[in-house]
Amino acid sequence: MRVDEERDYVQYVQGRVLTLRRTAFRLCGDWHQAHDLVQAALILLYRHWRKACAAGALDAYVRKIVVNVYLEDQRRWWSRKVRPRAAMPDVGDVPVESSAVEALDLRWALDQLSPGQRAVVVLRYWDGLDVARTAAALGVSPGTVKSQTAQAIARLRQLLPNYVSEKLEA
Amino acid sequence: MTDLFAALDRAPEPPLPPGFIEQTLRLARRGRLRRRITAAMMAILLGALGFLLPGQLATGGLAPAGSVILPDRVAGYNILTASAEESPPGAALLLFASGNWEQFTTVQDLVLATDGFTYRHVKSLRGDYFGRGGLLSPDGKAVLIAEDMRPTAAFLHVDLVTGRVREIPLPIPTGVILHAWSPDGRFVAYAQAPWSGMERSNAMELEVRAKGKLTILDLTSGQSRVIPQVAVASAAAFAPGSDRLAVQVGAETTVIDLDGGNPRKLDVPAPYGIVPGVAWSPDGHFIALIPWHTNGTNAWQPKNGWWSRHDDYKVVLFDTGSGTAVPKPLAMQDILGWRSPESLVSFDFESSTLSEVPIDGGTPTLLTTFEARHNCEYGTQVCLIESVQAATGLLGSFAVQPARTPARGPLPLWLELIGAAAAIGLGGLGVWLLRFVRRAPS
Repeated sequence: MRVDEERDYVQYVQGRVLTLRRTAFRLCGDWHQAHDLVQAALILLYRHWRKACAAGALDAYVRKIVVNVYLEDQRRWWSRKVRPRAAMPDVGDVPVESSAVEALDLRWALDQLSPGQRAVVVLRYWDGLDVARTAAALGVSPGTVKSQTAQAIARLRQLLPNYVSEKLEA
Repeated sequence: MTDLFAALDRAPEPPLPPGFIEQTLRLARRGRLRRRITAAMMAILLGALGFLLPGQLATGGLAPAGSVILPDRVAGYNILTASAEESPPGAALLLFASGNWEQFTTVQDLVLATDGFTYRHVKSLRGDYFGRGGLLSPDGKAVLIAEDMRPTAAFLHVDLVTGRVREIPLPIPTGVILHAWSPDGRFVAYAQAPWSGMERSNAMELEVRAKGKLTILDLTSGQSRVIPQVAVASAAAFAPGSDRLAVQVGAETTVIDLDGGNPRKLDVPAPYGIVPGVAWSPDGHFIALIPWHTNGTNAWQPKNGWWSRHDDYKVVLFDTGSGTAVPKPLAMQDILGWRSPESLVSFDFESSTLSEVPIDGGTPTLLTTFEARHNCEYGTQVCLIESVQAATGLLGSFAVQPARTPARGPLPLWLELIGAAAAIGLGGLGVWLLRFVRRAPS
């Protein structure tokens, strides 16, 4: 990589790293793992920098790398192991806001989805992508995105039966 | 749904680990360098594999130019042996069939070059369903090929020095047995008889031995000439000067000039006849005789090859008129030719060995042993050795030396492709495993 290319790369990374990390966190649900995913994605981006720049939509290209790294990581055997996490704080009898409870429930429910379903849900409803851009990020057809979305929502309904149905409507 | 997920964003995001971007950049640079080094190593490895695979081994220098080497062990069938047509070995000392006919007929017609370690298989000899017969030239530089079980439309002349295969057409397709190659290399004597059958048996051979007309092929012109003075040519052998022929005419033995003139019947003891192809001694004093038989057919057949392995098998020398004292009958097996006026080279079927047998009845000297490895019929059978021929003009000059690693020529294209694919696959697997191990959390 030429010096000017590396300078552009560093500038791009500095400007996008937090956004990419956020997407990675939404996909994996763990900040430490999100750092690893983003770093792996950025190393791949470094390798394919010229190709990525030539592709035009650089953000979409990089998002696709992040998603692919996440999905590839989920296929590895150690991804199925229990990940060490910090102990939950002992909240005692302190009343907890219902929104916080919902957040914990939703995070737990997301963890129960398959990696593909989770990626679809995160990209569409958390990152706010439309079907076409979600399909591009995942490298699948829009029809697949729609069917995966429907399956994921059905699964969330099963997992979160106490939620009002309108909250889970697309 | 979007609102539901928006609620998850209320928690504050942790800061990036210190030096995150710098570390990422460092890892990216290192990965790029590592990939380049890996690619270079793979290229070196593949290159080394291509050079070091069997047939490409460095052999430690060539034999001195002009020398003829017979290794003390002759290698046999190997699927990796290249063909003489595609990778010519140069002049050959031996031509032999190595393989097994048990079920799959994995057989190669191999030539051993005069350097003593280069082996090639003669692809043109193998033919298809119907076998072919070949004759190695006296100087070992060519093989002439005819059909064994069906009419021959054209001889195939395989040049072992250039790999070129030349067709020498016959006027009409006919049944053919190749008898002998003249010592000067110019003529080939063969018998021909009308034949149109195609059956996998020795029916054609019997027909030609019983009725075949002696014919002389002039290799300089490609023209064949029938010798009408000889009624039947069951076998023939050239005199050392290439000007006369000993011909087996059924049960009788005759000597004629090459143009068919001056026929002279020899008074050989029954049931003996000439050794096909190589009967005449280099000094012209003797014609070697072996038993012949009809074996219940109409054709007289020499008891050479497989027949020679019987214990009571004897070779008789017939004095051509030189007045030299005739040695006693010799106990030996299949005769490949004369090493000198005083000794013959014999192939023993039972032990797959070549020996030098003095005609004075002295003790035979073991020259070489053919390897009988258990790699034929896809590893289920021992490789057998058959149809051994020697370049008769080189028998007097070879030296026996310890066998070196056989050089079998370039690998077949299909194997090179498979090997390359396997090497790439293994390399990829190795890289994948490396990444797998490295990424595994401790």
